[in-house]
Amino acid sequence: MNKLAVVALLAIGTSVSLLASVPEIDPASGGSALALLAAAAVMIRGRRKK
Amino acid sequence: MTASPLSRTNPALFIRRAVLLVVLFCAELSVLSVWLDDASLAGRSGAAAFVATWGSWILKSVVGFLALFSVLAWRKNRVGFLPPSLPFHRPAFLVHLAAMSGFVALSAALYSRQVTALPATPAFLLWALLGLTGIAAAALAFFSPDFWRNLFRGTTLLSLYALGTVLAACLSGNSLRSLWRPLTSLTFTIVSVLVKPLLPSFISNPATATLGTARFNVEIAPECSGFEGIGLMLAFGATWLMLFRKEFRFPQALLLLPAGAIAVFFCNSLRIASLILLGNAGAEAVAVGGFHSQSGWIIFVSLALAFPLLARRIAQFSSAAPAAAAPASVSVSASVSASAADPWLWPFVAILAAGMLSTAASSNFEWLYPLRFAAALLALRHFRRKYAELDWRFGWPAALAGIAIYLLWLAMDRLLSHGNASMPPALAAASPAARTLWIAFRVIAATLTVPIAEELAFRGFLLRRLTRADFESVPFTQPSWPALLGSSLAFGLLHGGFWPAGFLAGLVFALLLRAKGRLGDAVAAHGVANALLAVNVLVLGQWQLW
Repeated sequence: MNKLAVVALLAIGTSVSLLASVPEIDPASGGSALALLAAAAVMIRGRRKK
Repeated sequence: MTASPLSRTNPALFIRRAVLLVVLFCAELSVLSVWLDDASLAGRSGAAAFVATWGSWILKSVVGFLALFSVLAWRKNRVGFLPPSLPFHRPAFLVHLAAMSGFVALSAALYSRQVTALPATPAFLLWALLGLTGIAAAALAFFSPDFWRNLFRGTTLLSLYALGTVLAACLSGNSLRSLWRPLTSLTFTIVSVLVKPLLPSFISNPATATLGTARFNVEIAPECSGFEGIGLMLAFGATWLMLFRKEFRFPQALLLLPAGAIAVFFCNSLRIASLILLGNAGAEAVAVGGFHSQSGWIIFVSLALAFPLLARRIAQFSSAAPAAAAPASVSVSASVSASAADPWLWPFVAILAAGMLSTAASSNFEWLYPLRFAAALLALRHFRRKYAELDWRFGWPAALAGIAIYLLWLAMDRLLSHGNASMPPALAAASPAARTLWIAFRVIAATLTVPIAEELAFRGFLLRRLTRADFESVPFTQPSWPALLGSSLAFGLLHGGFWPAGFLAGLVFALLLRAKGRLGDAVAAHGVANALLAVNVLVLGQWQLW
C-alpha cells in the first residue's frame, strides 16, 4: 500500500513537473539545477555518521 | 526461458549490444530533429494535426516508459531472459536502413509542406509505418525475436507497472491543471499579506490577480501559482522515499511529501513577494530577468536538499537513526564524515551553485560570472591534497581530441544556430577595463576551472560510479560500457540543444581517459576544445558559442 501511494505520488509529481509546460520554473535553467541537485544529493548520501 | 545460467550470453556482450542500439537511435534522432519541428504542422488537419497535438506526448510517454522499465528491471537484476547467443541479424538491419531512409525523406517533405500533391493523412500514415518498421527492424537486428519474447514474458509485471505509471502521469498532467485557479487565489492572498506591511503604497486587484505598487507590480498568472514547484517536490520526495525506503518508517514518512509540497508552495509566495520588493526598490531589470528565472530553481533545489537532511535527523521518520535509544546530546552533536565523492563533485557543484546565484542577481547579462570562477577555485584549493595524488600529465592525443571536439561543436553550431551572434549589448557598452576583465575571467574559467571541475565530476566520479558502487576502486582504464554511455549522456544533456555534440565529446573524453589512464588527458582535451571555441568567440565574433 505504501509502495502504491509513493508510486502514485511519483506519477502525479512527474506529470505536473515534466508534462505541464508552465514558466514558473525556467526550463532553460533546468539542466544545471537538476545536475546541481543530483550531485549534491550524491554527496549527502555518501556522508556517514561518525 | 529454460536456459541455465551457464548457457546464457555473457551479460557484457548484451550490454555492449544494447549500448550500440541506443547510440544508433540517438544518432538517428538527432539527425531527424533537424526536420521534425511541430511548429511547421500548425494549422494542418487529419493525421498531421494528430502528430502536432500528440506527437511530443507520445514520445515523452515512450521515453518515460523505457526509462522507468529499465530502472525497475535493473533494480530487479533480471538477466534470466538472456538467450544462449546473440547473433546479429543483417537482413533485419538492411530493412532498418531502407525504412529509415524512407522515413527521413518523408520527414523532410512532410514537415516542410513540400508534399502538396499527396493527401496529408495517407502520407503521414506511411511515414508512421516506416518509422515503426525502422525501429522494429533495428530491435530485431540487434536482438533476436526469442530475446524480446523472453524479455516481456519474464518482466510482464514490471512492464505493466511502468506503463501504468506513465499513463497515470500523462492523464493527471492534464486534469491537475484545474488546480491552477484556486492555487492562484491562495498565492495572491499570501503575497498580499507578506508585502502589504512593507510597502505603504501597496495596491492590489484580486480580479486580475495583480499586486505591487504603482511603480512596479506583477500579475500572478495561473501557471505561476506554485503548481510546478509542488510537482517537482512530490516527484523528488517520492523518488527518494522509494529508492531509500528501508531507511524510513512508514507510513509516517509519507507525511514528508505534503510537508515538502506546502513548503515549496509557501516559498513560491515568498519568491513573488521578493520579486515585487526588488522591482519596487529600482531593480526592475534584475527582478524580471535573472531573479524571475532562477529563484524558482534555487528554492526547489534548496528544499529538495533539505528533505533528506531533515528526514534523516527526525527519529519519527527515519528507521536508520536509533535516536530514541541514544542520549539527546549525542544525537545533536553527531557529526558526519566527508563523502568519498566530495573531492570529485564539489568543484562542479560550486560552479553550478555560483552560476545560479550570479544569474539570479543579473538582469540581461551575467556580470557576476567571475563568481563561478572564484567558487571553483575555492573548492579546488580545499581538496588540493587529494588532487595532488592524481596524474595530471597529458600527451598529444589529448590535444588532437580537443581539436576534434572543437570542430564537432562548430559543425553542430552551424546546424542549429541562425548565424553569428554579436557581443551582448551590456558587455559592448561597458568600459574597456570592465569588458577586458570580464572576458579574461570567462576565458580562464572556460579553459581551466570548468574542464577540471567537469572532468572530475563526469569522468573521475560518474564514469566510475556507474561502473561500481565503490567507485574509487575502479581504475580509470577499466570503466564499463554502460558507464561510458551513461556518463556521456548525462554530460551531453547538460549542454541543452547541443546534447548530441556534448554526448560525443563526453564519450571521447571518457575513451581518452580509458586509453591513457590519466585524468590530465581528459582535462587537457576538454580545455583545448573550450580554448579554441573562445578564440572563435573573441576573434570571429561568434558569441552564440558562449
